[in-house]
Order: sequence, then C-alpha cells, then structure tokens
Amino acid sequence: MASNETQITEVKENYAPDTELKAERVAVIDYKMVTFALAGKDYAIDIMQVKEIAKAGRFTYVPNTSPFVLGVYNLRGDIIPIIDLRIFFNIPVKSRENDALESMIIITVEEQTFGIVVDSIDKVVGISRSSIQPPHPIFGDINIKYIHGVVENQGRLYILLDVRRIFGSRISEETKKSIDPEDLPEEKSAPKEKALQLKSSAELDISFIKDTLPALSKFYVSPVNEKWVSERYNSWRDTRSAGEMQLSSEDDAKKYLETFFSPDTGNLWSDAYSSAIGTLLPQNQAKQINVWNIGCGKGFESYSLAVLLKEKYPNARIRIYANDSDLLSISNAPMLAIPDSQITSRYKPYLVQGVGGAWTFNQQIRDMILFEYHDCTHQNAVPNMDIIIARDVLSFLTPEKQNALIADFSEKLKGNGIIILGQNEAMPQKSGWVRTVQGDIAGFGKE
Amino acid sequence: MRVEYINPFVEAAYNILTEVLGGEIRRGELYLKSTSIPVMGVAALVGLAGDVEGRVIFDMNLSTAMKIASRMNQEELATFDELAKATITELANLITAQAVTKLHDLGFRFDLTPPALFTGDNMEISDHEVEALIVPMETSQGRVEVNVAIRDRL
Amino acid sequence: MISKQDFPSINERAPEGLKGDGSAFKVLVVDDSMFVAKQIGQILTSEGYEVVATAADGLDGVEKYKELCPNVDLVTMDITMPKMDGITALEQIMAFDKNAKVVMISALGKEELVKKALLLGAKNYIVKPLDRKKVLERIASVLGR
Repeated sequence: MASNETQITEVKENYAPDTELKAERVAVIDYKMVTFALAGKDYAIDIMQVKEIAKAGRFTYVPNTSPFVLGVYNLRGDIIPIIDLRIFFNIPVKSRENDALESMIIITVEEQTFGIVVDSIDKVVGISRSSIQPPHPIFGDINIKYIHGVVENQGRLYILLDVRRIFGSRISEETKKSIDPEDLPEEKSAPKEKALQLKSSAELDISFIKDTLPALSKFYVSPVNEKWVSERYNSWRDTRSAGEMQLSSEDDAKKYLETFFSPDTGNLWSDAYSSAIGTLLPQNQAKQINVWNIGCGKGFESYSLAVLLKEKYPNARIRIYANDSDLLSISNAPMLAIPDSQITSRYKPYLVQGVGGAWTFNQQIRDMILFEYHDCTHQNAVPNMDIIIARDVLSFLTPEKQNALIADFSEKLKGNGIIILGQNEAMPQKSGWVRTVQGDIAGFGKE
Repeated sequence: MRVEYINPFVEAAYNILTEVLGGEIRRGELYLKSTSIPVMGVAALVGLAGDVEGRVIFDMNLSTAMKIASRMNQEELATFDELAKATITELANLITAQAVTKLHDLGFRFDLTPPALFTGDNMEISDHEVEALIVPMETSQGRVEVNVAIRDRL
Repeated sequence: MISKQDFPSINERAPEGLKGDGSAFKVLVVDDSMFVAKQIGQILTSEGYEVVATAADGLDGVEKYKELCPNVDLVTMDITMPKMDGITALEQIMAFDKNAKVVMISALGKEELVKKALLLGAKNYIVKPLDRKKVLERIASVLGR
C-alpha cells in the first residue's frame, strides 16, 4: 500500500539510512509521549504517567516556602499540588494574568498526583524507544538529572523529562534506579507496553486517538465503545487534512466525540425516540417497577422516562432512581423548568405553570423520581431494578470502573430486566449479556 | 444523597457556624467520597432516622476543635476535656438540628439521635463504604468538614 | 450589637432572678450536654437566679424534681436526651405537679414538637443557639415578672 511505504520512507530519512534491520527497528512505535512547550522549547512526558490534561485558572494560591509550588487545585475532591516547572527549572516566566487559564498536565508519580503548569500543550507523539538518546549537557537549560533523554521526531527535538526524578521521594531514589526498566538497555520493553507494529497510518492514528481521548475529554476507549471509535475515524478523516488526524486539543476531542452522544441528550425525548425505547421495554404486570437512571444530568432524561413509563405501565407504581455526580447539573432537577420550545403535545398534559410563568412537571410525575447527587462508582444502595438506563455513562469511566459498574448492573438487574446504554455503546461481547434490538436501539439483558 | 437534602445541611452549617463562632465562614466546594470515614482526628456524630437512615459527622482536627470549644465557651480551654468535648458535640447537634428543621419544612421527616464524639485514629465507624457528601467549611478556627452519609429508606 | 442590657452589673433595675423578698428563684436544669448546662447556668446566675440542681437525662430530671419540690420554681428541659427524652420527662413532671413551670430548650424548632410540648403543659419554648436576652425574657415571662 502506497501510504505505508511513504510512512516508512519518511521515518527512514531521519535516521542513518542503512540496513533492513535498522529500518525494522525504527518502524516500531513503542513509546508515546505528551509534548508541550516551556519557555519556547519542546519538552515531553511519558504518556503512561499522564493522568489528564486540564486548563485551570482557579487554583488556591498557597503561601509556601517552595516558590515553584503555586498552590493547590481541587481535582474532583482530591486536593493536588500545582507545580510551575518554569519556576522549578529557573526559566524566566512571563507574568501571569490572574484570570488567564493555564495549561496543566496532571501526572501521577508513586501514587501522588500533581498538576504541572506549562506554556502550552502540543500533542501526543509516538516514537520508538530506541530512538531516545541519552541527555547531553549541551541541552542544559535544566539540570541534566531531570532529563530522561532527548528524541527527535518530525524535525523537532523533544527533551524528555524524568518526572520520577523530579517528583519522586528522594529517599527511595536509589531503589527506584535499580528497578527502573528503562535504565536497562538489554531489557525488552516493560510488559505493559505492547509494541505497535506499523500496520497502517490509519490504525496508528486510531491508536493515538484512543490514547488521547482520556487525557483530553475523559472518554475511555474499551470494548463498550471501541466499535464506534473506529467507525468514527472514517468520517473524522474526511474533515481533516493529512497530518492533522490527531487530537491535539480539548476542542479536537470534543469535535471527535460530537457524533457519539445519544439522541436527545439534554432535552426531553422526542416522540419518535420515546416510542422506540418504549417498544424495546418488555411487558410487565408487576405492581411496582424500579428504574435506575444513571447520568441523568439536568433531569430531562428522567422526566422523559417518567412520562414514557407512566403511559406504558399505567397500573404500576413506578420509582425512578436518578443519579448524577455533577452537582451543578442535578441540583435543580427536582424543580426543572421546561423551556417553551420543548413543550410538545406529548408533555403538555403533565406540565403545570408556576408563579413567574415557568413550566414544571406536575406533582404526580415528580413523585415518581428520586434525584440523587451520587457517584455510581461508589457503593450503590439501590434496590433491584427492572430497567436500567445508563446512556453515555460507561464511556466516561476508566476501564476498571466500567467493569465494576457493569458488575453492579449484573447484580442489581432483575432476571428479566433490561439495560439501555448509550446509542454508541454496547455491553462487551461474550460477557453474559444478551442483546435485543428494536430498530436502531439496543437493549441488554442477562443470559 | 437526595438533592433536596443538600441545601438544608449547607445552610445550617453556615448559619450556625456564623452565629456561634463569629468571624468569616467560607464554604468550600462540595464533593462525594466513596467512604464516610472521618479523617481529621475529632469527629462528632449525629445519627439520623425517619425518612432516611444514616448520620452526619463533623470532622475536624484537634487544634480546630480546641479553638472552637474555647471560642464557644468564651474562655481558653487548655485540654480537650469533658467540657470541650461537650461543646463540640453541642455544635454538631445545633447544625444537624437546624438542618432537620429546614428539612421538616420541606416535607421530609428526619429524627436525630443524641450525638457522640469520637477522637483519635481508632475510629471504627461501621458501614464505612457508604458514600458521603462532604461540605468543607473554612472557619477562623480551622477547617470543619460536614460529612453526610444518608440514604433514603426504600 | 452589645447594649447596656447585656451587662447585668450596669443595669439599674434589680436582677430578674431575685424574688421580691431578695431570695433567688430556684431553677432545675435538665440537659445532657455539659456545655449547654453550663451556658444556661451562666446566663441564669448572672441575672441572680440560683441553679439548684442539674440532671443529665429525663429520668434523673424527673427524680430530682420530685426530690426538690416545692423548692424548684422553674425547670429548663432539653428535648433530645438519652434514657428519657424531654417530652416524656415533661409529661411525668406535669403529672406529678400540675403547677410545675417547665421551659423547653431545644435545637429543634419543629412546629409539631413545640405544639406538643405546650399542649402537655410546658410554659414556653426556647430554640438554640441560646441568646442571653431571649432566654432571660422567656424565663421572666414564665415566672410572671
């Protein structure tokens, strides 16, 4: 294939053109790094140590004896220190505007999480480990002991930082050195990192995209959404120029994920969608029906469900347990005002107008729903469920948490119960789930 | 935790702390913890019953507890004695009671049980895997975390 | 705002806690919190009242009332207490002495509880946190001053 050959040729040109052996070696991409700028120079950090990327302005400045510790930041409940590497390395810093958003890389070293402020974050670059050259004093803007190595890629020179040496505890420095697999040149690469053969630039791109999505938008690729991520690449390709396939900013990630979200996210469900979901739900003669609605956000989904279920199961007492871990979104759900544009003939009969003209759902509908500020990756204290609606929730959890939640689903779902995930999500195959499809909506039940 | 329960606790904490401590009270950002175990050293616990089951814990370090107790007694207390403990316990009671009263006005029936005070690292609070809502309150005497772990009676 | 009224010694009027004959009104304080009992004690004592006894639970409160009667002019009763709560203790004291003057003190301002206590015979109800002025006002009114 022409594109493959071009790629290999390009790579070859950067290194001494030589024997077949050498070409094979450089063609293996087995190390990925997040690149960023610090005082005009290019730096990089091993992606395995990067937890996420953020833009933040609201640190709590803390008066501190170490000038490079800017303060602390509340990362979803964890208070983490924020370090300014520019100050740490004694690189002149242009004065910071107080409300400007800083680019920040969140890293984890020895179970401690830190945020580091940099000038700007570039993108994820894949290289071959063997192309990392040892640091040379000539690159010394910063102390050589903090540099893991330098590497050249596509005409740019990246200084690879050794975050473990910068942040690791001094006491265990010696032990660290002895167990660091990267220091042993004879050793094969650590078992965790699989060597990626250069199959096609498309596969490589998708692989990079899968690695950057978590850092940029907390979207974790797994068997739950893998199929969509790969299929999406095709339409993504069409909108991007060659060489720009990668996601290098939060905006890019957002654009990539644009087509992921389920229909009517953030709105009351349309007649068509409601009826499609309705057809998927089984008959149920029970007197009480329990529904678990995870990731309900502002509540539009829960109210849509309430109306749908009331009509489908008119004789049952329906209890919807609606959760979301975003306090700002869910805090107003019990009293959600429906915008005029969404008041269709379907919902009008269930709405009442309050003082000031706002339309909210009537008491009967509201009594069906219990809105809770709750993180579903914590212990779930809900009763056994007939229906679980978790649209676009799993994909924003780490793979371990996804599996834990799926296990919870299995435990909480009644034998004849049904789960509906996001439009572009699915239960992993061969994991004990049976799929039912109605039109283009799928539901899952236990085997 | 049910959304409607949140504000009453936040407001009660702010109101009571302002009233009994004076000084500036600042509320930090609310968040959820996977465990309800208190972590700062001194924990005043008030049990809740009625429409819910669970408890509220007021978590703070010893230095803050001493300063608060001293302030509330309007005299410098030297040790964390029975009086100091009773004072912190009463603070917990006041905040929880006001929250419960507000909840009552919203139509929720809560009852509270007499408070208890725990200190030290040997806090064995049962059922620690219950999720807790943390409302951090910054006072002139230090940080107090209101740790609410309750679930609706099904 | 701190006013002259808050400083008992600067007040020109006689301390409210003293009867016409100069003896002090005797108060039984029933509260399970050492801190609250101390607070009430301080407020009362500063205005001339005499705290004759303190009980830490409802059961003890009822017993002490029976022992001290008729040398108790007023009882302050906390609601939430172990062994026997304030409402039950109130009931028992009223059954023992229909003229007993009991003032409920609680952090709970629930209408129902207040109503219940008043119906059972409590003369007044004070909500915590304690405000010195309010405490003295209510107690004085109960004692007919």
